[in-house]
Amino acid sequence: MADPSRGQALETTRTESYYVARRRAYKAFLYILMFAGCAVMLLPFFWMLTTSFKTELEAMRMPPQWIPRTWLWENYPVALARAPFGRYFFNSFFVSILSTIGEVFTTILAAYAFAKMRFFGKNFLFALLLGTMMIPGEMLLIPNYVTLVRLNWFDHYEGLIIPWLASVFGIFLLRQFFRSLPDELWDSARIDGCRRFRYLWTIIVPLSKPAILTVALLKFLGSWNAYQWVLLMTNAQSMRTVPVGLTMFSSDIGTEYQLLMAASVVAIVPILILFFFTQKQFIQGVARTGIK
Amino acid sequence: MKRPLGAGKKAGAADGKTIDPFRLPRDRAFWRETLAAYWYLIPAFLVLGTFVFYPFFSAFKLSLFKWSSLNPPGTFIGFENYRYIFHDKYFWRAMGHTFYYVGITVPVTLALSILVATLLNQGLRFLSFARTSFFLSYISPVVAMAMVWRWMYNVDYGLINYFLSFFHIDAIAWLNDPRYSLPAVILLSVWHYVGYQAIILLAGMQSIEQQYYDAAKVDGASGFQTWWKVTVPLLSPQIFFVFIISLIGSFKVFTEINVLLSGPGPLRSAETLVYYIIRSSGRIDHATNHIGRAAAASVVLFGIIFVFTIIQLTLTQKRVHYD
Amino acid sequence: MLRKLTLVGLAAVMLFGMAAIAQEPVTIEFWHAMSSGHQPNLQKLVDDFHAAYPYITVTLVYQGNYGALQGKIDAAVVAKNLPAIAQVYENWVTPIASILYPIGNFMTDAEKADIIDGLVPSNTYNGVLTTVPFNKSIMVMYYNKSLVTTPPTTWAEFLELAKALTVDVDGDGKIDRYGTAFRPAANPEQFLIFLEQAGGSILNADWTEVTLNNDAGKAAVEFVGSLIPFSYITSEYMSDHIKDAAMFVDTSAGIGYNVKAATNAGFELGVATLPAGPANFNSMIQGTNLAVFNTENLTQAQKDAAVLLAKFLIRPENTVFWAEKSGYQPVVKSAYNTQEWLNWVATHDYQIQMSEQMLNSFSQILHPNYGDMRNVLSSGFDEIMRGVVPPLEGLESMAAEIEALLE
Repeated sequence: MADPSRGQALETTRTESYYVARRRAYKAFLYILMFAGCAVMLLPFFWMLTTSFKTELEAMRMPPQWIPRTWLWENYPVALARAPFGRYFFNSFFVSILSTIGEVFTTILAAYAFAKMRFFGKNFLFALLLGTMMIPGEMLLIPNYVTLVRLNWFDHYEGLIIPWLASVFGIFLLRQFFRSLPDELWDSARIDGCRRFRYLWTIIVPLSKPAILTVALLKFLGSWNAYQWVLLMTNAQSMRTVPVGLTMFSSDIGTEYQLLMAASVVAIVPILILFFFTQKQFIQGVARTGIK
Repeated sequence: MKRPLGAGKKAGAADGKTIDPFRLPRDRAFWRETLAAYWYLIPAFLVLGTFVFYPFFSAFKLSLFKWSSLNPPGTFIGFENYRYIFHDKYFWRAMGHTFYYVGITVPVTLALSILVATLLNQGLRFLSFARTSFFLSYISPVVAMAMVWRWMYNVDYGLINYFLSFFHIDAIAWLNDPRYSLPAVILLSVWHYVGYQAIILLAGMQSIEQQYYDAAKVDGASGFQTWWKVTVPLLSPQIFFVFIISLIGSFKVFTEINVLLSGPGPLRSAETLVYYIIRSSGRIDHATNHIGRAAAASVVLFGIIFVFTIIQLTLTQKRVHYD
Repeated sequence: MLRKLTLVGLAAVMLFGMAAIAQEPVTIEFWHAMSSGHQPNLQKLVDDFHAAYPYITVTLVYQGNYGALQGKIDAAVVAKNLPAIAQVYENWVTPIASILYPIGNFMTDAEKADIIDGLVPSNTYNGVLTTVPFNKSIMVMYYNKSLVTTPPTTWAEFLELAKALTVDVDGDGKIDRYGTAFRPAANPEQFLIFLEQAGGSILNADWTEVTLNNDAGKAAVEFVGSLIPFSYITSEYMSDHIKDAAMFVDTSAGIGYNVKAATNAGFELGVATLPAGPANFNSMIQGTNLAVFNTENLTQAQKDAAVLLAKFLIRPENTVFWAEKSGYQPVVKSAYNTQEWLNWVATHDYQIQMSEQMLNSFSQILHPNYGDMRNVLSSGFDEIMRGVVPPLEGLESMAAEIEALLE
């Protein structure tokens, strides 16, 4: 703070209170903006939640009935009895957790190579990676189905987990974060005789905690919501996951909205809890690294 | 693990960033580092190779065949599938719709998500709540979203037409008018992805070291100047990431269209390339299964994005601020 | 007498023998796309089947919506791990007809003749009944009972009524309710019905020539053209637009949603057979059939079991049970005379009209390019109904595009 001129104390006070008021008005404006944004974003969730308590007639009504006349709690047990959701939840957790852990591992390695190492064919390989993200998944399904049948992973957890242990998206995201870390870290670590592999896990990874958590969270979310793959690569009830249960409320004639919404609410609760806690975690992660 | 020796020494770690990526010095150290890098890439590439590259190359192969599931891949017909799609007016329309959609959705979503991330980075309270709300639109099932938006777009009761009536704009049949069907999808997409992109950008913003802000303060920069000269440049890796992801995702838009418009829109006005591909593969609308044509269209789509990505990578090699 | 006894004896021995041979337990998969609301009923049918054939175990496998089921069947053809039996649409199996196990070969003539006439051609490949119909629905006329007292019985009445019921209630110069409604892009079958009723068809009998644009086709397209000013056009389900039209042609399977939407809108919905055109009042049947696959991954016992299941599911009592629970229509004629069905109809009066329409019906042709032809009709019909091209011109360009699909 610059040393204020003592003779003009009055002037300074007025200016400060003016700035305080201005800052307050600005803050208030930001809060209004934030809550308006939240309201718009929460709309579908609100709709989902209230619809899950409506009667079938109310769910179909136009103009819509926002709040159900009577709250129909039965929709929840009815919806959850439509399929073996207990097993589905177990499978969803099992598959999502394992593929998240596995993907984070492969992704850290590959992203590090792309971010911080120089090697032959780097740009080509990277563009190839990004390019494959463009292929509509539908085109890959038949060859993958045949591969899985040949590997005897069809209807097995292997088939639900191993093909998803790497993701271009994750590699790309993490590469971007790794690249923003200063190279000097490596230079000094190397002088201390640190090998690259150890350097990656003991220095780079802790520094990139928020980014890694973001990758893990998005992976978990993607894995949790995947259904096309699960439907195609399994036949056994016992191998299926929650989103497959959600598809069962729709037919070519229409959808049982109130049941679909009830089951959807149950299905996104784990994601919500996870998000709520990991977001705190990644703020702490940033704070703890000490470089902030 | 192979020990990567001091590759940086000869290349010069400090100025490594300014080296033209297409003309790296290929000395012994470079090849040693290449070998090490490949070890790091193996786990990911083993999986991707089996389940992404291989099926992709087989899709490329399929584009040269008239598909037969009984006798896969069928009859070799050279570039006949390409000839077919290039002579199909619906393919070119789908191409036009795709560029229209991507051209608007990507920049608008990006700009909005930077603003949202900035807002959420102002040290306001209820941040957890706000972040969760913004994330919710992304994790809510598409059917729920589509239902809300079908109501928002309703000609008679919709919020959007109600809002427009304040400006004396006549009710628009958003979902049933070929001129408005694609804009309706664009608005839905912007809304759907803005929270998600903002969360990624926010994670980036929170990783920006405080020292930069301190330095800006010392220099007497205003809030806006700090944002424009510090936050945005330091966020460029994340912005670039979000941009590419959003670009790729937008080129692949399908579900939003199919659910919101119950098909490709009036007069197929919102049929995009991926819609065209999925229709050609026979998955929707009781269409005949022409896997070869679908594969050909996929290859074209791949080509388009490949070119875009290469251009992006080359351009941003210098522009994106990496430390 | 003796001969009769011998025959009975022989038959008994054969039956006994067959049963003895077939006692070897066998398990088959049945792939389907029925939503969870239908699944308990399907399971009930399978349980009954298990009771009748204790040595067979049927595993119901839900494969997602129809698109997903089709994708899975395609993939399974390539990977050679098809199930013994699956729900299929005609266009899915026309390219793979050679690996279908003809169920008709194991049915008596009486059983085959019992299948509703309109469903026989769409299950017959090269003259052999190959698949059997399973969940079928038919297009019928729905009408708002508070606006329509007598549903139209001819095209002329339909047009006249549609015109009379198209009104601008609040006088703002915009029509608030139309006489009728179409979903041309989503439901080009609406056009095919008029084509059939005018005596026309897409192709001639041996598929060598396009007949879409002959006189019957012209009559059909001119008739729908005359309805344009009185028609609400949409792509969404009619239940979302129940108030926008006084009467409309829609699938019988939509009855549940349509009735609920009408209840929400405060009126009662009636069901009628379609108004008759110059040739007939036939309507179109849609829905899936049952196919048994004849691939190496399946044993003879599995194929036999699948045939038994398919035949079991279309028995009168079972198709009636399925129809009552699911809203689809019985697929064999004798079902319509069972006491069970008559009791059901007595309490569900709309079924009288639907049943009558089922017996006056047609299905899609089994041309391998039918999906592409439908695509042409979908776009073309949409352009006509939205007034982008004049009806006759639209008909000619559809005919030209379909011509190109004939090779």
